[in-house]
Amino acid sequence: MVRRRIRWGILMAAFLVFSLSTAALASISVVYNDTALRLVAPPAIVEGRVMVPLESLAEPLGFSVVLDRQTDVFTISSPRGEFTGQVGSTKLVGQARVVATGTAPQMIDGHMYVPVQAIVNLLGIRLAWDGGAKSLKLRGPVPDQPGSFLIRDAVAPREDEPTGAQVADEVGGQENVSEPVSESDGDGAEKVQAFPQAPSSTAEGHLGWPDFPMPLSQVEQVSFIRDNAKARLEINVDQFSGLSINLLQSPPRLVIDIPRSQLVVEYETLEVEDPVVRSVRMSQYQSDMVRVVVDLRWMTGYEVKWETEQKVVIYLNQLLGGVRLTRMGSALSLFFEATGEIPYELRSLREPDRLVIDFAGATLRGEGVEARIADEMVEAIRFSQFQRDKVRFVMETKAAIDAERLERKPSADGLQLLVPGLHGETGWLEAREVIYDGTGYLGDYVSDAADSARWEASPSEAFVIDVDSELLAEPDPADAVGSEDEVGQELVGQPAGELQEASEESTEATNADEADGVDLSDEALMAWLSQPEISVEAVGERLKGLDGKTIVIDPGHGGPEVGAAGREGVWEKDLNLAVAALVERGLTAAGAEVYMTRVADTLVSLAQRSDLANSKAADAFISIHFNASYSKQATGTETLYRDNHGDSALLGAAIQSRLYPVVGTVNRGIKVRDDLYILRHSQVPTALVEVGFLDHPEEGARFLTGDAQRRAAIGITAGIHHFFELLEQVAQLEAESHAPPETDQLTEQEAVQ
Amino acid sequence: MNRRTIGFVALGLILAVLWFWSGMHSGKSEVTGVNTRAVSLYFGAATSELLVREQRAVSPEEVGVPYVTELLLAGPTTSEYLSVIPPGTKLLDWNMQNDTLTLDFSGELADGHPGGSSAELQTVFSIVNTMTELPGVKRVQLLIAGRNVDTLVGHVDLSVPLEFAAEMVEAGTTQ
Repeated sequence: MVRRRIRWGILMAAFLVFSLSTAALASISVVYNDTALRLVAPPAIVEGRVMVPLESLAEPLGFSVVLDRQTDVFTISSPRGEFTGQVGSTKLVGQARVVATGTAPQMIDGHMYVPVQAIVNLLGIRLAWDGGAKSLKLRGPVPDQPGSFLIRDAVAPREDEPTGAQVADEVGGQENVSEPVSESDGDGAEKVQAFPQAPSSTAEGHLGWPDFPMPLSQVEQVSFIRDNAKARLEINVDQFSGLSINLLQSPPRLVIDIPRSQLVVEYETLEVEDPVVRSVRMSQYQSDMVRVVVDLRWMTGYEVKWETEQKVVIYLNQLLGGVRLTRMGSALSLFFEATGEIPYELRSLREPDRLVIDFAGATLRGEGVEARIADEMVEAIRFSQFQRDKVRFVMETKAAIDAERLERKPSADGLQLLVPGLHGETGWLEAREVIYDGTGYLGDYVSDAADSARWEASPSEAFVIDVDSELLAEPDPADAVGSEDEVGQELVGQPAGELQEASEESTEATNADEADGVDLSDEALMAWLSQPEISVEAVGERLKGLDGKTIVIDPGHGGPEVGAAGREGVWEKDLNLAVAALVERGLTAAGAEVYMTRVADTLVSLAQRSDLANSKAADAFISIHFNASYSKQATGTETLYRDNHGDSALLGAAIQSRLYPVVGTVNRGIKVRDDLYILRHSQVPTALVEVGFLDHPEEGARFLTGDAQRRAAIGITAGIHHFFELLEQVAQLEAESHAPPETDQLTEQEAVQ
Repeated sequence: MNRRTIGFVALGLILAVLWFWSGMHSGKSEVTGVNTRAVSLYFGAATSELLVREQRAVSPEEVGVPYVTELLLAGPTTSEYLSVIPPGTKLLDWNMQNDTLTLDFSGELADGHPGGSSAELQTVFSIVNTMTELPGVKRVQLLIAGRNVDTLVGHVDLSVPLEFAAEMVEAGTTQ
C-alpha cells in the first residue's frame, strides 16, 4: 500500500494523488482549467492510484476515445498522437512512445476507468491536488474542439469510425459536455488575453510542460524553518505552478525547479545554521524558471506538500545521527542522537528475542550497521534505513525484553531508552559504548574473542565518548585505518563527503605497499564498497587484478523488448543499460577487457548475446536484469545460473555475495535454473543477475535513483572481481594439494578468509 | 410413475447435490463427490513469486486440454490467488504427439506480459505445470501465434518443450 511516502524525483502532484485516502473518494471533484468535470461515476483508488472514468475526461480535455467492448481495447486520439490501451494492460502504446499507466485500466460498474496520472502524462498537462477543496486540479490547453467517447460493438465496421463531433451526439454526451466546455473555453481565453506576453515554449522542451501561454508565477518568499517539528523549506508563489524536485549527491543537495516562474525575492543565498541544511540558494535559472538549491550536509528524505495554491512546503526528514549503547550497572542505556523528536514505535519480538524500534519520517546518517556485540545482555544490533522514510533499529538480546518496562526519555537532541538488567552486574559495554555514528563501523564487538575489539573505521568527533585507549593500542593492521586521535583531529568539522574521502585516502595509504587486490576483511571491504560517495571506477581501480580477463556484459532486453515496467514510465531495459554501462567502467578500471552485447537502446537477439560470449571465449559472462512478479510484493536480489560450465555457480555466488549487501536488498540467494535461454546457450561461466524488483512500490522507486544504480554496479563489479579471486584461491589450493605440504602458507591463506 | 423411476430420480438428485457440493469446495485441496474428476490449476501466489495449486472438480468429459486451458485462462476462484496469464490470451490450437503437448497461444500472451524473469517463470509454468498434470502429458511446447519463439519476454527458453517445475510451486500447496 503506497501512502505518504515520497519518492526521489517524483513530481509533487503525483505524490499528492497517491496520498489521497479512500474514504474521501465520493467527495473528490476533478477540475480542468477551473471548471469542474461532470463524472459519470465517482473516482476510485486502485493500487494507490486515482482512477476516473475515461469517458468523463475525453470531451472536456479534447481527445477522442473509441472503446471496443468486445475486446475492451480503446484508442485515444489526442494532439500528441494516437494511443491504444486495454483492460489489464499497463501500457498505452503510441506510435512514437509508450506511456506506462502503473495500474491497468479496468471496467468498474460498466465504465472504463483509467489512472488520471496516465492521461496527464499522455497529454502532457499538469495535475495538482487541492486538499482543502478536495479536488484534483488539471491544467492544460483549451481544446480546439471538444473530444468524444464512442463505444463500438464488434459488428461495427472500422471504416465507419465517426468523427469526434458525431460521436458526442451518438453517445448522448452532448448535454453533459457542451456546457462545461464552453465555460472553460471562455475562461481560458480571458487568461490568454490578460497575459499576452507570457512565454510559451522555452521551458517546454526541458520539463515537458504543455505548449500554451500561461502567466509567469512570482516566487515571493523562500524561507527555511527548523523548530521542534520537521525542518522545512517554504516557498511562496503568487499562483499555483508545477514543481520538479530532485535529490542529488556529491555534494548532497535538493534541486527544486519551478517552471514558468520569476524570482522576486531579494536575497539569493540563505546561510543556515542547521544540522542538515547548509544553505539555500535561489536563482533565475532560465528566463522562465526559478531554481532553488538546498545544500545539505547529509542525504535526507523529504516530502512535498502544496499547503495552499500559493505555498509549497518541502519537509525534510529528521536525521538520526547514531546510537550509543552504555552499560550502567545491570541496566543498559540506548541513546539515539537525532535532530529533533521523531515518532517511533517500539516492539519486543521473540525467536530470536529482540527489540525493534521503527523511527518514522527519519533518515539514517550513513549506511547503517550490523554488528555482533559481546555483552551479557545484547547479542547483536542492526541499524538501517528500512524504508525510504523509516529507520529501523533491532537489538537482539539473550532473553526477552518487556517493552513495557523500558524507561523512555525523549529529548530535543534524541531519545534515551533504559533497558533494565537481566544478568549479573557487569557487561562488556562499559568501555566500548560507541556503536554507530553514521560513518561506518566504530566498534566491532567480536563475540568469540570478547577482549579483542577490532576497529574498522575512524570515529568522528560527534560521538567519541571515553573510548578506552586500550582498544586502539593494537589494531589489526589489515583493518585499521590510522589511530583514532590522528583521524579524529583531522576530521573535526568536516562534512560527510570529505570525511569519507579522507578515510578512503588513509585506507589507501595503509594498503599502498601491499600487492594487487584488497587485503581487507570481507566486512571492511563491504563497508568500503558501501560508502555513499564512492564511484564504480574508484572501486575498479582499487580492486585491480583483472588484467588479461575477458568479460562480456549483457544489459538485458532493449529496443522494442522493453522488459519490466518500472515506476514513472521507466523501462527495465533502460535501467539494465545504465547499470551495465557503470559495470563496464568499473571492470575496465580493474584492468579487464570488457565487451557489451549492446551499448544503446537496440534490439539484440538472445542468441547473439550468448554467441558474443562464446566467440570471445569470455572468462565471465554476466547478464544484468531487473525483476517483476505478479504479486508485486516480491523484493530482493537473486542471481541465476546453470551448470553449463563448472564455474558458473561460483560466478553466481561471488556476485550475489557482493551485490545484495552493497545495494541493501533482501538476499534471495543464487538459484540454479535450467530453462533460461541465455544460460542454456552459453558455454562460458555465466550468471544472470536480477538486481531487484521494479514493480515493488519501494524497491522499484529506489532503483530509479542514481545512488541505487551506482550501488548495483559496484556490487556486480566487486562480485566479478571476487569470482576471479576465488578461482585463484581454488587453483592455489589444488596446486598445493598436489605439491608437498607447506602448512604455513595454507594457514595464512585460511587466516585471510 | 413407478418406484424404480422414483428411485432413479432420487439417486440423480443425490448425485447432483454431491456434485454441487464438491464444486462449492473446489477452492480447497480435497475433491470428493460422485462422477467428477479433479484437475489441478496453477495460479500465482498472492504474496510470493511462486505458484499455488487450485483443484477443481469437473465432469470426466471436461478433463481435456481445451476446457482446462479455458479454466486456467479464466483465473482463480479465490482472491488469494492471482491469474498470471495476460488478459485477452486465447488458445488458438493444440496438438498432442506422444507425450508432448503443443499449445499455440495468441500474441497477447507475450504482448500483454508485464515482464521480469519471475513473472515470466510464473506465466510459463502456470501453463506447463497445469498441463503436465493432465493424463498422458509429460512435456509442453509453447507457440505464440503459430510460431516457435525463443522466449516469451526474454528469459525462459521456449524453443524446447518444458516439463513440470516443482520448484515453482509454493511449499505446502502440492500433495
